[in-house]
Amino acid sequence: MSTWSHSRALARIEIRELHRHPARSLLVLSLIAIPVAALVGGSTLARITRPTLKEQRTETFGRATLRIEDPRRLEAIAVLELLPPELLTEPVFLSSTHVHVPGRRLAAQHIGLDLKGLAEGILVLQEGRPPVKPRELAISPNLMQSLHLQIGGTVHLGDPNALHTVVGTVADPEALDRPLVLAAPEHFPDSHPAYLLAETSERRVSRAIEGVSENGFLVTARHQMEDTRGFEDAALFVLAGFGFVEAALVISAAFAVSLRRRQREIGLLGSAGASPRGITASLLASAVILATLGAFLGITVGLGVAALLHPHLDQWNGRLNGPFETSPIHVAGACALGLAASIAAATIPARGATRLPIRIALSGRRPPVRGSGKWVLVGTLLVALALALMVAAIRARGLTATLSILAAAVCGVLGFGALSPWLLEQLARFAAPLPLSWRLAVRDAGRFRSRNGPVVTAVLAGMAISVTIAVMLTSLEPLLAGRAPSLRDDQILLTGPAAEECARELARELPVTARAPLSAVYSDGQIVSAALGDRSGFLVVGDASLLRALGYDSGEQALSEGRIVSAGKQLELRIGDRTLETSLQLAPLVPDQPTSGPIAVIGRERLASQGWAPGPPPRQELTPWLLRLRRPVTEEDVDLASVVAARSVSTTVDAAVLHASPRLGMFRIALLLSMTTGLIIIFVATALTSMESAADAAVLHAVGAAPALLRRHTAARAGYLAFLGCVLSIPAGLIPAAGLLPQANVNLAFSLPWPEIAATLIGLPLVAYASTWLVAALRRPRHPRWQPAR
Amino acid sequence: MSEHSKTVIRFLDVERVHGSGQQAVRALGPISLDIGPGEFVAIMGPSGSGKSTLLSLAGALDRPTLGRVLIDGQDLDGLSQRQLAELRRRVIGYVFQELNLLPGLTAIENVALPLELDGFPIAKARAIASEALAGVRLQALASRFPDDLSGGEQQRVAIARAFVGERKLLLADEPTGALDSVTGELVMRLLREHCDRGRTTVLVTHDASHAAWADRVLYLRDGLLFDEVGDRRPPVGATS
Amino acid sequence: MTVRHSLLAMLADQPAHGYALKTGFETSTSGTWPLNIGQVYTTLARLRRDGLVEPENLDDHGPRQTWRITDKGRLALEHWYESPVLDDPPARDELAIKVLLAVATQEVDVSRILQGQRAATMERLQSWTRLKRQADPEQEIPWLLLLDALILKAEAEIHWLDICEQRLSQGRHG
Repeated sequence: MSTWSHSRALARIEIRELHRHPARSLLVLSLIAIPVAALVGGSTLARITRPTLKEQRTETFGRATLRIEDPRRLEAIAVLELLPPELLTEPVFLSSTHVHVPGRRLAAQHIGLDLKGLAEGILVLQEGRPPVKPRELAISPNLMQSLHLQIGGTVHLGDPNALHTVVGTVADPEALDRPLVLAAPEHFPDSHPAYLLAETSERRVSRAIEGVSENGFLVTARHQMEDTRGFEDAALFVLAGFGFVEAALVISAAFAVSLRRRQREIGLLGSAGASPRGITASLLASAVILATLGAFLGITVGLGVAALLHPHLDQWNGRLNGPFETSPIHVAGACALGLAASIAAATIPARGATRLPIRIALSGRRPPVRGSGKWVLVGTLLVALALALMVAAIRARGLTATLSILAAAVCGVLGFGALSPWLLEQLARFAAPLPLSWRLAVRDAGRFRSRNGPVVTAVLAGMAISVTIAVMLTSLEPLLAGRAPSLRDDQILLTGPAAEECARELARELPVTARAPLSAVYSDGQIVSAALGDRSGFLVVGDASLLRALGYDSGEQALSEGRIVSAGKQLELRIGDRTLETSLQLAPLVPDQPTSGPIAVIGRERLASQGWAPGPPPRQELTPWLLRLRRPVTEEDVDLASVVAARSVSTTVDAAVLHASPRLGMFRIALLLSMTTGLIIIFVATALTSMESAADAAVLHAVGAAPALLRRHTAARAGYLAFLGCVLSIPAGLIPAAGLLPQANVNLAFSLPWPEIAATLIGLPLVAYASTWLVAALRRPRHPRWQPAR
Repeated sequence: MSEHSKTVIRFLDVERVHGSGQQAVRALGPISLDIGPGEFVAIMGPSGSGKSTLLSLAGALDRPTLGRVLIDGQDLDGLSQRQLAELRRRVIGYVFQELNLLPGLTAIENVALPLELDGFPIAKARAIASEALAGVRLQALASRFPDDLSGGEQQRVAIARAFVGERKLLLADEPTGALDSVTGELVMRLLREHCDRGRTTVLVTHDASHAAWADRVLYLRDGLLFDEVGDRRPPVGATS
Repeated sequence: MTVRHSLLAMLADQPAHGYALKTGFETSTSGTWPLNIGQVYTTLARLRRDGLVEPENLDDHGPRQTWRITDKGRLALEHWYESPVLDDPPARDELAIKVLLAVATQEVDVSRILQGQRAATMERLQSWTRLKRQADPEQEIPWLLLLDALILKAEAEIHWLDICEQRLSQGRHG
C-alpha cells in the first residue's frame, strides 16, 4: 500500500468518524471553539473598554499641553499675572454642590470649564447646548434622571431664590455615573480655579514648564503622561497568557477523552496493518479539521458576542467606550492557538494510544494502569515551582514579575492537573458508603482516571482564571469604590426647614427603625472634625436613636457613660488645625456598612461637659434629619418621601439609591466572561463524559434501575468531576492572584472572594449536576434495546 | 388463582416491527408462547431470526408493536417506564454475552445492585449478594473489580446478579458466547441448577450443546416459531 | 480393530483373564459399548495367533486362563496409539444418504425429514447432557470425556441439519 492510499484510507475513517458521532464531534468542536471565542471576545472587549493613552491624556488635559496647579489657591486673575505672558491658558473650576429640585436634593460636583476650549474632551456634551450665560447649567444624565429633570427645567444650588436653567447634559466620558453640574467658567461662583490648562507650541514646552515652575506652580505636561494602567496591563497580560494555556489544556482534554474512547478502533486499525505513524497522522488530521472548524467557530462567536455586548458596554463600565474594533493580531493569535493547541494536544494522547499494544487496545479493556506515582511527583514539583515563582514575583517588579506570575499560573494549573488522576484514585477508595449513583461516579472516575483526569483538568483550567479575577476584583473593590458612600443603603436624609416634621410623617408611612437629627459639634464656632484612618468626617451629637439611625446597633451604654462611639479605635478629633489631645474614652464599634460623614458620636451630657455646642453639619445651614429603615431604601420610598418633603419649601430627600449606579469595571466584565466560559466548559466536558457512561447506563437499565436513577447516575458523574475541578481551581487561581496584587502601585490587601469561591465550589458543580440531570430527563426515553456500547 | 400465575412468560400474537413505513422491518412474530415456572427453555435460530428481540420483550426491555406480552402476569403495555424498571429488578435477571458488569463496582456490589436499586439497606443487600456469589462459587473474589476477573468469572458474577433475590425469571443472551467450552459448561450447569430450584430460565444460543441443557428448545426462523423440541414437563430419567 | 487394541491396552497394564477384560472394557466405555464374552475369546485367539499375546499358564485352556501381552504386542499397541484415527474412506453415513436422496427425488418433504431428525438428535443430546449433569466431574473423567465426544458428534449433526435447512431455503428463495 502506498503512503498516499494508506493515508487516504485513514483520513476517510477519520472523516467518517466525525460523521458517525456528530454529537461527540460537536462537543469536541465546542471545547476548541469556547476558549478561542473567549480569547477573541475578551481581547476585543478589553480593547474597546480600556481607555487608550490618548483618552487617558484627554481626561486630564483636554486638548491642552500643560496642566498647572497652584498650591496657593490664588484668584484666577492673580494666577494669570504670574504666568509667562505668551502662554495661552484657561481655568478649570471644581467644587462640590447640591442640586435641588422641589422635594429632592442630590450631591454633585460643580465644574466650570469651556467645553470647546482647551478643556475640550474632559467632559462631553450629550444633549442641548453648553451653558454660557449666568444661571445656565448643564448637568449629567444620571442627575437628570434622578431628579426627573428635562432640558429647560430649573434647579437651584442651595439658594431657592437663584434658579438655574438646565440647557444641556454633559458627562465625564471616563465616569458616566459621576454626578456633574457644569457652569460656564466665567460665571462660576468660586474664583479659585482648581487648575489651569495651557497650550504652547511643542518647541516651547520645556521653556514654558521652567517658567511656570519658577513661579511656584505645579505643572504637568501632556507628553510626559505615561499610561497609568500599568497594573491593569500586567494583569491583562497574565490573564491572556493564562487563558492561552487554559485553552490549550481544555482542547487537549477534549482530544484525550475522545481518543480513549477510540482505543479499540485504533487497535483494529493497527491489527489491519496501519502503521503507528499513519494512525497518528490520521488522528492529527482529524485534529486539524476539528481545530480549523473550532477556531473559525470560536472567532465568529467571540466577535459576535463582543459585537452584541458593545452597545451595552457604556452602561456596564460607566464610560464612553470606543467604536467596535478588533485587533487582527489577537484574532490570528487565538486562531493559531486553537490550531497549535489541538495539534499538540492530539499528538500526546495519539502517540499514547498508538503505542498501546494492539492486543490490549483490541481487548477493549482499559489499558494497564500505570502507577499515578510519576504524575504525583510531576504535579507536586510543578505546584512547588508555581509557589516559588509566585514568591519570586512578589519581590520582583516589571516584566520579570509579570513573566514569573504567568509562569507560576501555568505551573500551578499544570501541577494541579497532573495531580488530578492521583486524587481521583485516592478518593475512589472512600466511595463504598456512598449512595449508588455517587459511588459509581466516584469509583468510575478513579478507575478510569486517565480518561477523567483530563476532564477535571479542563474544568480546573476553565475556572482557575475566574478565581484569579475574582481575587483581584475583591481586593480592588474597596479602592474602586473610592470614597465610601455618604449614606447607607437603608438611610434617608431629610434636609431643610421641615426636616423634622417630614421625618415624623415618614416614620408613619415607612418601616423606620430610628430617626434622629444629625447635628455636628462645634467648639467656639469651629466644627469638630474627625478622622478614622484615611476616612475623614465629623463628630455628631445624639442619643441611642441617632446611634441606631447611623447603623450602630449597640453602644447606648457607652454613650450614656460619656464615651465617644466610633467605627474604629484610631479616632482622631480635630478643631481647625489642632488635634485634640484630650483623653477621650472611645467605644469602637463596627457598623455593618461603612459610610463617610458622621464617623463618631458623642452623647449630649458629655457634649455639655466638654463645653461644646451642637450645630449643622459642614456646608449646611440647618440640621438635617436621618432616618433608618428596616430594609434598604427603594426608589418608591424615595418617591414617597419626596412627595412628603415637597409640601414644605426647600425640604429635600437624599438616599443612597439615588446615587447608586451599577458599574462594571474591566475585571467585572472579565469575571463575567470567564465564569460563563468556565460554566460552558464544565457543561461540555461533563457532557463528554456522560457519553462515556452509555454502557453503564445500559447495564443499569437492564438490571432495573428506575429512569430517575439513570438520570442521577449521569448527573452525579458530571457533578463530581465538576466539583473536583472547581476545588482544584481555587488554589490554582489564587497563586497568580497572590503574585499580581503586589504589582499594583497602590496598596491592595489580598482578600478572598468568598461569594465567588462559594459559587465555584457549590454553585457550579450544582449547575453541572442539575443541567446534566435536566438533559438526561429531557432526552426521550431511549428505546431500551440492548446495545452493548463500546 | 388466575391462569396468569401459572405462566411466567406469555406472548399473545406478539409482533415487533422496527422502523416504520418503507423501512419497517418485522423482527419478530406473530408469535404466541407460554413459559411456565421452573421451565428451562432454549431459543435457537440463525442470526437475525428474532431471538434477541424475543428476549428483549421477555426482559421488559422492549414493548411489542402488536399483541400482548405478559411477564409474571403483568401486561407490559399497561406499565410505565418506572414500573417496567421495577419489574426488571424484582422479577427478571438478565445475563448478556459480555459487558454485563459495571466496571466501577466490585463483584459483590455488582451482584447487590438490583437489591440496592430496590431499596435494600447496603449491609443486607451485600449479605444476600454474598450468598449468591457463593452459589456461583466466587465468594473469594467478592471484592475484585470486573476488569480484574476472567471472562468466565465475569459471567458467573453476572449470573449471581441475575439470581440474587427471589426473582422468578432469568434471561440469558448467549451467556457463553465469549467463553471456552469447559467454562461455558460451568455457566450452563449454574443455569440448570437455578432452574431446578423452580425458577424459569430462557436461554438464547446458537449452540446446540448448550441448548440441550434446556427442557424445551424453540427454533426461530425469520421471526417465527418454526420448530419445537422437548417436553413442557422436565423429562424424568435418562434414555440411552 | 478397536476391540483388539482395547484388549491389548488393558493387558499392557496387567495380565488378565477373559471375563475381567470384558468387564474392564465395558467400564472404561461406561457401558455404552456392550461386549459379549465370545467376542473376547475370539479376539484373544486371533491376538495369540499373531503373536501379540500369550497365555500365562500354557496348560490351562479354560476361562480362568490369564493372558499377558508380548513384546510384539506392545510394539503393535504403541503403533496404534501413535497413528491418528481417520475414517478412510469416510464411513457411510445413513443420515447423509437419506437427506441427499430426499433432495434428489423431490418427492418427499425434505424439511420434515430434517425437522424430525433434528428433534430426535436434540432429544438424544438432551439425554446425554442429563447424564453429564449427573456425572461427578472429579471422579468420572473418562465417562465425561466419552459423553463430550458423543455430545459434540450430535451437535455437529444438528449443526449440519441447520446448514442443510438454510441452504435449502436459500435455494428456494434465490
